[in-house]
Amino acid sequence: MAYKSVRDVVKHPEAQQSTALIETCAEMCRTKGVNFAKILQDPVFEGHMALYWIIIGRPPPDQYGLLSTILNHCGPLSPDATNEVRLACIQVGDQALFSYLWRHPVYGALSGTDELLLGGASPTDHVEVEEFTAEEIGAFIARFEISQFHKRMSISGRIVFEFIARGLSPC
Amino acid sequence: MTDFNSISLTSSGRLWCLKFYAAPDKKTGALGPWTISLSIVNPSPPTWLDLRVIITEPRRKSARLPPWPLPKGSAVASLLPASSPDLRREKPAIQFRLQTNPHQLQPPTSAKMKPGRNELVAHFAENAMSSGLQFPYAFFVFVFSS
Repeated sequence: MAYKSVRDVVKHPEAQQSTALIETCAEMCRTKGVNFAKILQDPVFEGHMALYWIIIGRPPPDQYGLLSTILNHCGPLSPDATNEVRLACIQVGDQALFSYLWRHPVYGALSGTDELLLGGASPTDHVEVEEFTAEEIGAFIARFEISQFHKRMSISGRIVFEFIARGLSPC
Repeated sequence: MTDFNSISLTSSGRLWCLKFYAAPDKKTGALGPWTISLSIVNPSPPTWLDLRVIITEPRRKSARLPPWPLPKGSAVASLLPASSPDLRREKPAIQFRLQTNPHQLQPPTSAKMKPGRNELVAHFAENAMSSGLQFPYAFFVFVFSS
């Protein structure tokens, strides 16, 4: 039943009841002792997870609600789920969408040390990417604003960013 | 959608991984010199790269950095600090330039890949400006040109 409902959401993510349907499924699974996070991270939808298809649908920034609901019920993403997110984001080439996912606590962008230093599970850093499309195809600028850079480098010794940019088109 | 390969071939972006790290000393555990690296993440396609890293102070970013968003028709070269009189008046930014040559930068496909094929690396200690980096620099601009 939960699989069928999630499949319906994947097929029609824009439907108004999609978010409510996910919440209902989550509650139903909780009642019956079923691991809903496992269902959401199960690659049973044509070989991919529900999250993959929602990203492929490329919702606009004002419609990330369904994505947020699914992420909240996913729990920490498994390595396979992280790879699905990356694959989908590369395919749609949407930095804004990827940035939203990267900043979500379930993505796990921050190390445990950085979580303690920054006081939260979400990165407080900012990344902006601008691509040149006219004269210099393949060129882009990415800007990073990094919180407490010196302290984090001195204590954890590691700051990692991931971002999407086109670069030169593959042959 | 059943033809997975057809999706891969139409990928419209690359996933990049930018990393700052300080490797700990094996004996003392103390953190070593700072290093910056850029790599691409699977399943991104390989690419050649000409990378410039520019590091500036955060509090003076409005005076030191190019306008953002960039004006339409801007050329990459015109945005580099050395070409801007306003920027030259400021304390020089820390800059690195890294290039792939002769091989393309590739996502890591196996542990046996030759070093340097899947990441571009620069050491802060090799830059006279950055080796004196003691205050909280926090704003970075990176210019890439494939």
